[in-house]
Amino acid sequence: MSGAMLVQDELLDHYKYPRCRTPVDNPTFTVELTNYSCGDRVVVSGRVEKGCLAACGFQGEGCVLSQAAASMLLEKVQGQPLAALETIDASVMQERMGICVGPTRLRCVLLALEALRRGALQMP
Amino acid sequence: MMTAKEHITCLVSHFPAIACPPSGQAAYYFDSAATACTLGPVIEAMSLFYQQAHGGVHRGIYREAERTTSQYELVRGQVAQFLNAASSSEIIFTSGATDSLNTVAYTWAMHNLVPGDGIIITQAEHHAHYVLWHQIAKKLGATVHVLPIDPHTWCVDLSGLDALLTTPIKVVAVTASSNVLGPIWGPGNVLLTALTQKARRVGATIVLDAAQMVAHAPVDVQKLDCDFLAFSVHKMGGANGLGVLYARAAMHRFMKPYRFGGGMVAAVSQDYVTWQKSPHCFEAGTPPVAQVIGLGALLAFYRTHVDFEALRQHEASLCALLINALKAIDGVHVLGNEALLVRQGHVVTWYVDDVHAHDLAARLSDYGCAVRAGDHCAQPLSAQWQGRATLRASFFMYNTYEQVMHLIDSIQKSVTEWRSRL
Repeated sequence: MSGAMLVQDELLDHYKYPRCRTPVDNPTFTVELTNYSCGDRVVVSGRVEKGCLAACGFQGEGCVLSQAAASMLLEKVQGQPLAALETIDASVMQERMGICVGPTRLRCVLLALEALRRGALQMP
Repeated sequence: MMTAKEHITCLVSHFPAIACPPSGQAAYYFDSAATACTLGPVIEAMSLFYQQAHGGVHRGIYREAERTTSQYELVRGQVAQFLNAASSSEIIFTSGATDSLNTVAYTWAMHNLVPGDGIIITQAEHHAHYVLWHQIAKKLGATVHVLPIDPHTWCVDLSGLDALLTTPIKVVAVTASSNVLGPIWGPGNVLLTALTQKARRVGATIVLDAAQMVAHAPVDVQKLDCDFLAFSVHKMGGANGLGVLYARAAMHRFMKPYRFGGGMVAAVSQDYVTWQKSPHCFEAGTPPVAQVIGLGALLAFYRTHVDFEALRQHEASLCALLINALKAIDGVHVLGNEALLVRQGHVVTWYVDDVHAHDLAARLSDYGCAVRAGDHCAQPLSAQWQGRATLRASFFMYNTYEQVMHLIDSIQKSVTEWRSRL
């Protein structure tokens, strides 16, 4: 992982102007996760209707990766069938973000995805 | 008489990772509080050990096994001498400081604490110590009392100690030096001395986590008046996978083995088993012999090359250099007692208001600087700054003024770069 990559325009744009950072009406799930080793925190909410993620949003604070990942992820999955969530993994996230990180920073990248999976797919 | 700077310059060449770093590795290594670069003679001693035929210690009677056993026990004696322990039987080899502390808990505490007993720790304990004693207390019905860190002095607050000592305190288990704040016991560790003296008067057992101490200051277990002292060898420039537990001889009769295997038993039948004497009864299975041989080379190096007073001056001057530079940057907060850090520190921890620690550390890595970012395995302590991630630079005998100047320049550039983009 290069720090220089952190200042890529698209990532920074999602960090500074996050998408889906709005409350969700009548959410069917809300999951809060914290990466205790660095204090990154996300609260992901969503409403599942007829097998689709009809709406989703997040709140939180932390490093550029954790917050930009949440923004990029939720923008991508909003309105998608739940089955589409199951195809998103670490490599998909990194490809979408244009980065390749080590195992420690991967926890930042995957924080929102884990919260979303726990809520929408009711995964442990 | 060499100056502290000249003394350190002589030491740098003994660390291959610093003196001739392989391409692509960080040339500016400031994470020795987590794990130090390995000393050349340690690598050579371990390499030689593996190149030669060797045998299991305390088992074979053939020539190689006997030689290995002699070497292994010789190092135990070196460790005893290094710590000024009364006897080499007080030295137990473990897999690291965490293992050493767990050994205290499971060989001694589990058999000597009863419900209602009190355990004193500090807010600055590493998770290895903090969590351990909470778990032991939960198992035994004991109570953990946490001495807070004073947010103004960044030292341990002993104002509640006298009241605590009117309750049945059985254990005082504290870190000798914080891995986040550095010195937390006042000038000359006066607060630690006050704590141990008072604890002694009520008969408490004293456990010291010396993981952040042994490589930076002379340790005398008799002067410290502790019953147990734990440290890791890899933080000193030795090999991974090896730790030491000093257990005062008078404690041995209250300890019981908790790991079982070869080497620690004397006689075994269907009906009964007897144990070897300490320390062997606490070293079940084949021990990390190569690492111990490496430790022998490490301690020989310390004896012949390391002047702890010069090292203290050098590390403290690096702390002062970095702290002064950090304070000149808007929005930077340095944690810890600055007056103590510039006299006896080896770690500097800070955060920047508007740049996350991970983001800054990643950028510093681009400049070749290895610093730690996160909570440093001390979340109860980081609650004092709302749990936000911090950066930590830690210094050791191979760090130089020039390296720290590069770090300072890199920090200044990185903060400016981030601020121009955020």
